[in-house]
Amino acid sequence: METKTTKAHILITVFSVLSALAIPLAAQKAPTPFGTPVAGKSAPAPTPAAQPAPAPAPATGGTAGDYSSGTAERGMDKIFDVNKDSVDLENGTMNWKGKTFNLGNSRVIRARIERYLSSPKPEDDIVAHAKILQQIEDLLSPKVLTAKNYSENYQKAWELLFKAAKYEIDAESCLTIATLVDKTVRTKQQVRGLRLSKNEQEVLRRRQSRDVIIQARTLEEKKDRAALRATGKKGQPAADVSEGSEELAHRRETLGRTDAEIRKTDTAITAIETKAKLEFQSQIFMFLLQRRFKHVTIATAFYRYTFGSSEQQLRVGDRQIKEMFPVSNFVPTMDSLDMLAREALKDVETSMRTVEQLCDTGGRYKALERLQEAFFLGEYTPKVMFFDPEKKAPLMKLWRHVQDLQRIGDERDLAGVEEVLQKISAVADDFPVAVVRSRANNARRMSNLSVLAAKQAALGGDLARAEQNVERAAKFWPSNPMLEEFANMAVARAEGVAQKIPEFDRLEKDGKTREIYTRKEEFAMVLFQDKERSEKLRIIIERALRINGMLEQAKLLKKQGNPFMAWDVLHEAAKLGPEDTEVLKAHSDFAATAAEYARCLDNAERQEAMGNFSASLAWYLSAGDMNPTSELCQRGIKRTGEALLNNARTKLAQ
Amino acid sequence: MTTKNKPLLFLLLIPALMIGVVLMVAIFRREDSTAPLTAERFRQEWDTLQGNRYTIRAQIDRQIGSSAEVGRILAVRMLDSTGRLPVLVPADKQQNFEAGQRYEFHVVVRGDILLVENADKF
Repeated sequence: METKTTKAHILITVFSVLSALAIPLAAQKAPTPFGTPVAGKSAPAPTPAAQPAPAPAPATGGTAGDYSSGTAERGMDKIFDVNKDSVDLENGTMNWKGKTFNLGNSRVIRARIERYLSSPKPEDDIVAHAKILQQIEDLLSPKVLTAKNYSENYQKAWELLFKAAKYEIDAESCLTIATLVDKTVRTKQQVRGLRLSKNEQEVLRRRQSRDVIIQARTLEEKKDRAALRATGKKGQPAADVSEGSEELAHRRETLGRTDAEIRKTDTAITAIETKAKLEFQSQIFMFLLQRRFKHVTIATAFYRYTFGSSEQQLRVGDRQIKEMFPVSNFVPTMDSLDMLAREALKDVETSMRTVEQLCDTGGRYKALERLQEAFFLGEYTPKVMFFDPEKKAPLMKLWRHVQDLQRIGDERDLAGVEEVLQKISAVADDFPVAVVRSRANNARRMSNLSVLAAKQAALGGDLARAEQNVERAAKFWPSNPMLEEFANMAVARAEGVAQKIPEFDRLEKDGKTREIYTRKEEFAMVLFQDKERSEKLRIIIERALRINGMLEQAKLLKKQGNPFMAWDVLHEAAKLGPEDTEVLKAHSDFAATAAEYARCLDNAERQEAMGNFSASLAWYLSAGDMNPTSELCQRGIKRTGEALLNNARTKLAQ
Repeated sequence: MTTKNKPLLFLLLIPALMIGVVLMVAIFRREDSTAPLTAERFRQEWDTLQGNRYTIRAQIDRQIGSSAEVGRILAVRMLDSTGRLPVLVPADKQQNFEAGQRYEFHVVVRGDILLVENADKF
């Protein structure tokens, strides 16, 4: 019980130490304590090959090196929902395999992708670094490793880590791996020393234990003899039986101390080993989070080497890894990390192939989407870094246009949408222009409708509703010109209530309804609380609207070569608004094309007005001959005919 | 007068007789008929034609209205000129008028009304 408590306490301590170490580990720059191994010069480098119990060379398989096993990959496809892979620039997150990775500030990641798209061909350094990483990976590949070259390859790979760490792109990640490997090797040496001392302690313990047993037995026999003597020879003094008890007690105490020492050594070994594993695993997990997948695979290979294939249980990030593998009873191991890294690299390669293909076939928008995903997942992978700058150039252009569109969308500057859409269409045929345009149009329409509703509400005196609708209109399209117009009207109302009412009265009295109609908004704003005048205004507006409709109809009929019917419509319009300037203007415009017909109708009406119904009828008949389908003529004929019958007797009697 | 001059006399007499007949016919027609009435003339000058009588040859277009006390109003299409005119057939004229029939209407101008005095179908 006591031992368990002590172990738990140690583990907790180790975890807290590790969490404190996590960041410094990543930033650790100093090379190993055993000198600075430069490529080509083998400094007194740690010799991982010399370590005890190295992992058996997984030349043909085994858990640690089973990269070719299709089982895991097939499992991956079932487990992961690849459809969820996406990049969300707004929130600065990336979803990969159903797990969301935080990419950081959205502005920063935008800058990162912009920098990537506009970057020229990768520098030689990047190429050289990628080659070294590949070299390391090749050296540690299970395809290459055999029992013979196992240690030698690891040694070479370890040395190459220092070469790779020199490049800026590496951010000294390889140095971290090398340091960890070295540290682990040293830890193992320390553990070995502890184990030796523990062995010695156990030998000592066994000897001490034997001594205690012998001493106890001797003391027991002494007591027995003394007792026997006391019963056979009475009157003899009793022998001293306490002799030797002190020595036994001393021996027991010494044995207890040795036991404690052994336990202490055990605990120290466990703590050191656990700490080393946790440090290594933490760093690998950190590489995974940084999306340095090549480093993950390399570090995992070194982990396998230093700890052996039996020590693969994942202690760091196992919960997160379990979340990525939603399978019950799943035990995450170091291979899980390795598998994830390789899966990511494979995904990046697939994405980049798709990007290349889409670029070749003209699907640039889709190519840009795929490139973003590939970039954020595998920013440090060669396939992404070496993407052809000539292909990146139009994608960069498209990216900027899309960013413009997004900005316009954020600001709801709907007037500018069309221009950007045209620019995008010129670069990418596959951009969903119709969808965006339709959404922009819908928003514009909704905004306009809200402004109209606001106007109506204002006319009805419902200022609260008007305000609500204005807010709604501004929400859809803040820069809607109709809103400005509405605002101007509101201002005008406030300014002109006093002068507008008499002006309305004067215009109405003079029959200048067309002018009232033309200035309907300003009068409406002013008169909405004046019920009587509002009603007059409403009638004028309705009448003007009807007249407008008739004028349009007349123009259409005239255009269709039917001037007499057009005149009929104008005639009706004139009845509605005899003083309407638009009607009068249309009359003079149309008069030339229907002069005779117009004369007949005018005469008919004049005679009818004078009570000369027969003469009027004669004129209507004449007009009807010119325009047989005219309802106006037919009505006139019927009306004057009836009037003639009613008045004929009087007239004939005269 | 010799027998020899008789043919010459006949030659002179025959044209003189013909001229005389023509003049007689012309004079007779002038005295016996009214001036022609066109639709346009009626529409324009009806108030100057008060009391005049005319004979118009026309085809019935349609009946515009009728009243048992007053009679019927017919729209007739002029045969000797263009256009239509309304005529009032008094109620006492017991004749059947149907669209398409041709009549020679003897009318008198009363106010702006063309009152039918007689209607002869032809």
